Amino acid sequence: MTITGVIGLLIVASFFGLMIIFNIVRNNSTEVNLRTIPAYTKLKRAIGLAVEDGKQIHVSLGRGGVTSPQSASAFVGLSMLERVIRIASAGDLPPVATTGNAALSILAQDTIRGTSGEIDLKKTKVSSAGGGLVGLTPFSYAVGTMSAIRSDTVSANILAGWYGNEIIWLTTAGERQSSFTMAGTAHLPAQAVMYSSVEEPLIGEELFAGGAYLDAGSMHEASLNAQDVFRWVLVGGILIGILLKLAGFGQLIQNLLVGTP
Amino acid sequence: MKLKFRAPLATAITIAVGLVVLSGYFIPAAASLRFISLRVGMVLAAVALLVGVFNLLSVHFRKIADKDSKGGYSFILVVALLTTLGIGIYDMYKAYAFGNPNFEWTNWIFTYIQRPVETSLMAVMTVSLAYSATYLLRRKMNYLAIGFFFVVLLVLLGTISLSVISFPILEDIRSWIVHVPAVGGARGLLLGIALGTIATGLRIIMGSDRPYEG
Amino acid sequence: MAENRCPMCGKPNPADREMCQFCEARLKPLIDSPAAEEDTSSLSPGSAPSPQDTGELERTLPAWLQDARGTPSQEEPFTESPEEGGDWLANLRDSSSSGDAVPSPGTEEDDQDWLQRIRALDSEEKAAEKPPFEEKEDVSEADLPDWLSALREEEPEAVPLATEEVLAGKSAFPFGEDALEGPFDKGGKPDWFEEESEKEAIEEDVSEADLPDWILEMRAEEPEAVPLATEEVLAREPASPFGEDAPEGPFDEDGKLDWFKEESEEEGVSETDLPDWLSEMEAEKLKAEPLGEEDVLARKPASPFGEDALEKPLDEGEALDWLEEESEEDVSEADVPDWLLAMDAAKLEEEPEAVPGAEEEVLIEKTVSSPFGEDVEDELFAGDGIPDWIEEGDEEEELEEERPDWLLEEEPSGEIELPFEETKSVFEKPFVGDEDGDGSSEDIFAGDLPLWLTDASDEELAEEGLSGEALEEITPGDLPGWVEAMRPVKTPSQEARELFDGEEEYVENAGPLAGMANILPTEAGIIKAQKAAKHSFKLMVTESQRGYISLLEDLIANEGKSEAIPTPSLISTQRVLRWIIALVLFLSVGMAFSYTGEAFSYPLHRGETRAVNESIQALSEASPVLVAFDYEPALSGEMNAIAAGVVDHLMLRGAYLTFVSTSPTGPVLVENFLSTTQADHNYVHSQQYVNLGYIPGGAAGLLSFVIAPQNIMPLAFDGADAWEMQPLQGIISISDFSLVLVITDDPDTARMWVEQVQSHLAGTPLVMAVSAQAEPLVRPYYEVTPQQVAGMVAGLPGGTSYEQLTGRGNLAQGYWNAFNIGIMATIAVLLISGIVNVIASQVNKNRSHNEEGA
Repeated sequence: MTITGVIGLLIVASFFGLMIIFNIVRNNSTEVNLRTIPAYTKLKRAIGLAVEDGKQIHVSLGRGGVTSPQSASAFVGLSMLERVIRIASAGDLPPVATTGNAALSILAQDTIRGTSGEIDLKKTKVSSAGGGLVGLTPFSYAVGTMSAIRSDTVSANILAGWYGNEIIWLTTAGERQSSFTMAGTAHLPAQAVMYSSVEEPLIGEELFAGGAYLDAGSMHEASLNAQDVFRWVLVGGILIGILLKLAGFGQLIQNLLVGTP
Repeated sequence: MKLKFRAPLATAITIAVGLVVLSGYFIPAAASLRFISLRVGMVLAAVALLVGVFNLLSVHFRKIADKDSKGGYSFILVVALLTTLGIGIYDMYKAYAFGNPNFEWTNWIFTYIQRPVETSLMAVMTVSLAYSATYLLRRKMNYLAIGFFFVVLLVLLGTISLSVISFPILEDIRSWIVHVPAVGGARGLLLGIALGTIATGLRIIMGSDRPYEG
Repeated sequence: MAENRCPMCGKPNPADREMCQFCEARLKPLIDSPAAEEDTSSLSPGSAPSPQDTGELERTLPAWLQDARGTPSQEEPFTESPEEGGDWLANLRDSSSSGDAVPSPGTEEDDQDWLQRIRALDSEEKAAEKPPFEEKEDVSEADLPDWLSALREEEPEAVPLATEEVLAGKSAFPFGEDALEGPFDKGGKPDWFEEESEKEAIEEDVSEADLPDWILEMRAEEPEAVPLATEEVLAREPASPFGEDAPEGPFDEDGKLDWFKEESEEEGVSETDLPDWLSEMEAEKLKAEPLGEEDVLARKPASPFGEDALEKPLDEGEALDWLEEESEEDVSEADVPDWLLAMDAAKLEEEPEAVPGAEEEVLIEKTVSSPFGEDVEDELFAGDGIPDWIEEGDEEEELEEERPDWLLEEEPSGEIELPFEETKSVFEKPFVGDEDGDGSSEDIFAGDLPLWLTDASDEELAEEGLSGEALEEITPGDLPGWVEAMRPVKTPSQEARELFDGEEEYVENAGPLAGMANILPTEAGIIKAQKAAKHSFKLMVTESQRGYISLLEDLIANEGKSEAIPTPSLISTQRVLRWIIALVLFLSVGMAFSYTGEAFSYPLHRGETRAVNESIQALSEASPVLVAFDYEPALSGEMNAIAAGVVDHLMLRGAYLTFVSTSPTGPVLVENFLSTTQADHNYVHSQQYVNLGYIPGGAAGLLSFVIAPQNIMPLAFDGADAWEMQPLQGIISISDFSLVLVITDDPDTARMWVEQVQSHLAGTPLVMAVSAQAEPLVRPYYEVTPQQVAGMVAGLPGGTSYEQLTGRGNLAQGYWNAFNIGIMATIAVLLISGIVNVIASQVNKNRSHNEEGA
């Protein structure tokens, strides 16, 4: 096993432990200390307004697969979908979900059915909730999703998943409909596009905090705390690496990372 | 009494597969198990693609049947999908039956229909990107928006290779922007995304997140 | 040396003398209590009166008076049990049910006593319509003294004179005009009283039968003088703190203590029964020069007992100067118990003929309006003029049941039902000065008749040379303790303020009940209860509430107005701007394709590009090269141009190419790419290249392919056994490839290949052809040491540069002019549209600012 592998294993194990610890701490404390992310604050309001108006909330899960690193953002989108179904269960119309990946569409439909079953949502609502595949390629998915955004019954759009530059069509479509649009993706070029085209962008890891901000569970908050801890660890590691390299230990670090003596 | 076996079973399978794949990265002895899991995953992903295609068909069939909805586009989609599927099967048949794997008809559809359509959409997206860059100044008239706007201009100016007018300093500026702040910022974002990805994966392995609510 | 001034003659005496050396009057009261002595001795003008313990004086009373008052009660002081805490009537019932319990002075029993007597008096008044101020005449006509009979004969003439003088403003009687209106009907009775009387007609009949003849005769004369008195009364100006509802207090209209009067009535006390000293004193008064009515009014603007009390039998009598002093000094007009005056007014209305002129003046002077105004009265006696509490009391049987037995017994005789059922703490506290409630402080009335009154006579006074004027000269500081104790502790105005301030305890301030706590405050109680109705109707509205109100008003006002919905313009500014941008870009790029010259210099060769070229150049002929086509068809325009020069170079080197893709459209894209950009190489599937097709599963599938490529992708795109084909001969693992080229537009796909594949290459170089957007994210893998990416061709500049390196022009060089013109057009569009949007933004801000200002 290389030093990189050991470091990776340590990171995963310690991350796991921190999440457990923070989850226990969270369960023993009622205080929720999360910094304000305007996008989630406005999202909650938009959900409430949609329920009051009898409108739908559109959740777009992107086109990321479930067997790749892109799946992380897709799973966050699924968590949001679950929370939105629960929150908007009192509304006249259920949330509608769209995906650009086949496996993700299956998971989306499963999430809709499972969550609806837990809260005894009417079958008519479940059947109209969608969650189907609207396109297999980025642009076909974008065009198919645009039709959902432009629906008169949709008043809020949550774009949480894996997108490319095609996300600009989705954001501009939401803007034209004058509906609330929140967008987040792990795709960096798409983040640049989002920043210029959407009112409430989720930059960087803000997307992964969605579960915690939508009260998806204490483990989401615990994972945020663990991320904060590791963020500081990484900052410290980077600074130490810079100092070691300046001190002439650059080659040693390279050898350690590669695993050669 | 209705017993729910699906959810616990799905959770157990998910946790087990996740642990196997994860340990396979660090423990050589678990590599074989990881490979099996990956192969199963590949097959399931391919099957999921078919399931997704059929799901797409069913959804648009319902839309066609629903007189209230706009079924015209769904009809075009269904016809195009079935036509492309038929032509692909025909090309496969030709390849197996006659040993002529040129996929003529499939290539024709791709070259003359799909690729022009998608590249056209890309061109339209270019317009949308240019428009959104300018509209940013109207939506958010702040320092960040102004900075964003001028960075875009600098990078574009640094890309131009006009022989008549030489902008060497602009090229250096562009190179510095692309290689230092853009890379540094992107790397920082990627680190955050990586941490988020780890957290998401661990939540699924722990059974905290269950996107497979059966 | 300290002097001890005689309370009777006012002359100084040595301090050690107990009896006045001039008049033989007792200088020191017969009180053992040092406190009492101290209080008495410390009296001075202007000093606040304090309760006096005069219980010891009880024994100095004449026998008849003691008999009438009964012996001081030895009962326990009244205590309010918890169950009865809120029910004073129940307390009264308990007290009265004690049967022979004689009210002790200054205790609750005493309060109860006068209440009973009030009822007895009122029952007689109702039954016999007896003039209230002629209680002393309830003796038989035969017993009337001559002076009184003569006076009665003169009464009709006296009325006009008195009226005129009263109208001249001689005095300010504390009762307002409401005194005649409020609860009293035209007959002068309170409404509630009248109703009670009507309901109890049988009882009245019984009472009438008991009436003496002279009263019945007087009743026949009653109805005559009312109009005049009423009219003049209405013209008066007010000053009564209690209004017309002043209760009937312990004093009757002629100033007698009610207990005294009652005893006289009940026991048939006649003039002959009066003690000698009193009879003599009255006889002397009759002899004395009577004061005219004018004088009386001038001298006595107000008496707590009513002017008639001073004018009729006793006003001329100097022997009762103590009463006069008390009236002048201690009892101001405002101090006159309102209930007493109200009763006077009512009865004056009832019996105008029987009212002498002075009495008429009293009536007129009562015309001062109530300080509580007519509003209170209207509310109190709305409709039929019956107070609500009376109606409720009549209607609710529960209240009937709550009446004390003694009260029920008294009702047949016209007993006035006490209205103050809400006054719960009437007897809660003992007499003032007896705060401890232990009864140690005796009732001041126990000694209300001083020794000098019992011993002294006018004759004696005459012997001493003391006339009435001389008695009047007694300074206030010389008031005897018992008189001082009778002084009102508080003025009515103070009392009213306290009541209005919400104090629960009511302390009588005037008359013999002065200082008694928790007696029935009559109007005060009602007024206190009704005070809440006097609340201002002005709403207390805050600014925010005003804002809401105005907003609501605007909403309501605009509800019916139809507001024109602004129709969106068919061509909005933004839509036009979007179309302009599209036209500029498309036209500029389209026109650039027609230009074939070298207007734009080719980019410089970068190191990463040269690294790719060197890696390919290092390949031997027929080297197996794995090429990943991981980009979308939409990006084929850019990616084909970037990859064309690299793939061309590979084909030039004669490399065997194996194509894979993690995108479903990748395999078709490969075929298209080869057929369009590399058609002149004539590469044949399964001979020079193999298209393995789509690797499902993303990163996992890619990792699986990296680990075991033959197991994961056993077949080629056309279904043939890929690993039997020439390009894949000898390839077992991915590291067997000589070069791995990844063509992708997505930095994450590039990262996936680096993370999943690079560690398994075992020295095989990994190069990339990436789009311009992926370059910043891929570059770190190239710049890191050791390199994870051996080289890369990034963007169209990279492709053009690579073609320059190989010397074979392809798509990139063909796109170069259009690319640069397109970028220039884009810059121009961004600048122009940016300025337009900035201006539009400012215009919108100004417009919204102006709208807000408007």
